[in-house]
Amino acid sequence: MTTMTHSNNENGELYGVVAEFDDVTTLCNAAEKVRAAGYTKWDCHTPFPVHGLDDLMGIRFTKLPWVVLIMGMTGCGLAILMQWWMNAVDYPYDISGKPRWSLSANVPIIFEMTVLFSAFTAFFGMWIANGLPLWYNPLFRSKRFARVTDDKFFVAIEATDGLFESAKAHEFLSSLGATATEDVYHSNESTKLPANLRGKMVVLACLATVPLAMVYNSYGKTTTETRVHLAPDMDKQDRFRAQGQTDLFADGRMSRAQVEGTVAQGDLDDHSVNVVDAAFMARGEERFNIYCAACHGFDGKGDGTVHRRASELSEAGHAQWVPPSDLTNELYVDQDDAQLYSTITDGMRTMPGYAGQIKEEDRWAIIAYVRALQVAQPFGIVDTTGMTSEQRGEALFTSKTCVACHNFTSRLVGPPLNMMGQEVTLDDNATKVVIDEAYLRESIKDPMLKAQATFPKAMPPLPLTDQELTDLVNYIKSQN
Amino acid sequence: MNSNLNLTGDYQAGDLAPRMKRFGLILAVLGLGAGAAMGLTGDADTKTHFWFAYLVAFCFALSIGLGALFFTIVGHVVNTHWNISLRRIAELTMSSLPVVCLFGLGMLLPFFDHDVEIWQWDSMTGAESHAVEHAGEHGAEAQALSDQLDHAEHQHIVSKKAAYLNRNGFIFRLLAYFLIWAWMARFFLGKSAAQDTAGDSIDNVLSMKKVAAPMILVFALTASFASFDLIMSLDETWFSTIFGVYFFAGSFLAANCWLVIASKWLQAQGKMTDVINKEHYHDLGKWMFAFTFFWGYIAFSQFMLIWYANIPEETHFYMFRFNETWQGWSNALLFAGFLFPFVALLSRHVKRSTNVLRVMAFYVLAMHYLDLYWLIMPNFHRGEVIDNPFGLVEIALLVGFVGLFIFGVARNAGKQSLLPVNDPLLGKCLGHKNL
Repeated sequence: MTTMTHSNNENGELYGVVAEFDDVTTLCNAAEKVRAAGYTKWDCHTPFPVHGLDDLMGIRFTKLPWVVLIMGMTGCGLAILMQWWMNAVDYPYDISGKPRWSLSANVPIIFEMTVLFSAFTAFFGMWIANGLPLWYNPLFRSKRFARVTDDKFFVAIEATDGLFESAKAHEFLSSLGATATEDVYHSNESTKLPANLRGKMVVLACLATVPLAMVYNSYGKTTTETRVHLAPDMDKQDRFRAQGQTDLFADGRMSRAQVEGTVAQGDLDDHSVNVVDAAFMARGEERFNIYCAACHGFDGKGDGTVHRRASELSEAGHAQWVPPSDLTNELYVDQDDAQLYSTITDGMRTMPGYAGQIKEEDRWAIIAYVRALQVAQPFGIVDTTGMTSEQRGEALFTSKTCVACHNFTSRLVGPPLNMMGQEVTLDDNATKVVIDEAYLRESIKDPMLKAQATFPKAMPPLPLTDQELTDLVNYIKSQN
Repeated sequence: MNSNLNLTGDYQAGDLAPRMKRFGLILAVLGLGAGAAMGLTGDADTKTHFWFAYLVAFCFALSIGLGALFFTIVGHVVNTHWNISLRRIAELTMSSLPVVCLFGLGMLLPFFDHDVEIWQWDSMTGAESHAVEHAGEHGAEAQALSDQLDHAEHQHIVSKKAAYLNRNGFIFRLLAYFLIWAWMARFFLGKSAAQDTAGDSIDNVLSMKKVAAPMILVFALTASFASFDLIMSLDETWFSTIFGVYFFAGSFLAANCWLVIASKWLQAQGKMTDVINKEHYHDLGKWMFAFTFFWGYIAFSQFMLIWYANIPEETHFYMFRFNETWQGWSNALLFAGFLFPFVALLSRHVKRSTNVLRVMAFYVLAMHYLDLYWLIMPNFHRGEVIDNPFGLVEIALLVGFVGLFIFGVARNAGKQSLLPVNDPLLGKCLGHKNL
């Protein structure tokens, strides 16, 4: 039975005519006829994909694959260009002796970028080609049309079609076997946004820039403000810290000395008892050459390949580099085994801790090997006869490891030493001091007495004779 | 069960099968005979070359059968419908495995000929250790490898592998793989054929589906270890854990190419004309495309890790193949074996033009042969720069094994329909459409 109904005439303009069909076959026949009748602005709506319907409707196969192909090739080309620029031109870096620019290494990125560009093009291209997102379609105003997700099939001819005439369309669709046809109207509501909503959106958009502006404003700057604690209980927990103070114990320290003759839980391996024999030394040598030699050099003199390369980069202004220590230096000859062990375990300055990579026993083996390196290469026996005071100072500058934290050009761990005569701020952030010879002497003897602001308080006092102190100061002066 | 389907075409190969069997036998006899006449009458070098070429041809025929076996099983596991009309052809293809594998046992003969050095781990780990006796004769072959690895160290590595790489274990494993595959082929073809006449019962289909999932695992293990034993062990110190996947990717690719060729040929003979259409070829083409890429992906995964790590016992595999003798083949594999078919098969139109697709199937099969040749033959002379050994012996043996393969496929072809006429999913398969 065919019915003709007009829903809500007070609505806006006529959108078109929609016809309801009961089954796929009728729909497919109807689609063929509608196409043959010359309509161009019309569509079919079905609860499930109907194979072959697009052929009957005369929908051409999508051109999207070609766009995807082109964008895929673009991604491929961009990936090659990008990696060539980054690895070979802008920041050439030697990684395990591989060529700076090598297609073999670039293939995974090329693959990923090709897939990324293709997939994005396919996904968003599909949206664009289908005119999505579509916020509103007048068909949904028809009650009958709701069954399109259930068991009915629809053909809709739009009023904007050149051949469209409402009465003719009704008649035509009914003649094709439609069980019902219906006019569908646009809503007569204005398509403009409500004025007050627009105002609110403008305000929101302006507000949304505030966080960005704040981030931009603080980017790369330092502040003296204390940080805001959003969860103070978490940031400031009520617990004992290694260096903290407490009233609980008579000595006022939080950390307690270990009970004589005991080992803390889990630390047993740190205290392994090792027999230093040839095998143990060989193990130490092997581990040293694997883990330490890259920076400290095979002879332990702090001249490994990483150091050499990093120094090059540092001199070219690409990076700052704290040189690795010369392990044959008397500072380390005098150091406890336990202290060396602690350095290997937890790191020192820019050296990371190796607890995760080197087993406890191997750390002791490395220490044994370092001791052997020290014995084999006695340090500091520099023949100073005939040297000027400055030359003796330069030898001391190296042998006393000043060089690990200071140079004469820029900030390392400690301040640069080319600032004679300049005024600096001390760590109380108030006192200003002019650097002169007296300040240097004083600070070498007792570094923390007048430490400079913004530097870590890390320098130990150096036991030097008066002559050595004079030599060292003379050398520093000569470099200014 | 499928009485409502209008199955009016010709699905019987009773007339074709005897012809094909005869054709296959003639090819096999001529090919293997000519190959043996050329290869087994010369000096030790000629004989060694013969057995390497024999292994390539065997692996080529074997891989198509294995790919077809996987094609059948995986269809059961994922309950697919599009491949039902192609499934019987795949089932016949996999039943070539017993015939091909029987001749594959020929690869055990080099164990008993001291002139031939194929399974070099055997001479290094074998009780008689005739490597020492023959060290003088084969010194040159070992030389290139010794450049990379100290000879004593080489010996040491191989002796560590002796628990796995030894003659008895090798023979036992080879027999085990061949028997397992033969059983699987027999089981799946048997059940599938029984379903043809089972009326409304689907017990056969259910029992195939039940067995299929664990058989995927068995297939993965046997195919991987077979590739380790048959191909990877030729270079006894080299190892690559991805190698089984690499071999599998090539096999499944080859099987899909073969299915295109076989289907087109059957249709040209007037069989199956109404049950295999553009949609099915399109799907086979998609598999060809996907596995061309997957094969390249796996090949590169293997290459990149070895290239990056740069460890001598791994890199020598590529060093052998990047020398003057093999550089050309390596390049061909990259450009002609991977990039060209990848681009050529990208288009939907190529996959739906069945004649073009058939050309691509022949082409990709040829590339699969190239791939296997590239895997196996550089172990002959081990990285020494020599004239490329490809010649008449290879062609004769390839013809021989293709003949054996065709005989194996045709062996059961006449005994049942070429179409699983009573499969419950056949109707869905015939109405299958690609979006």
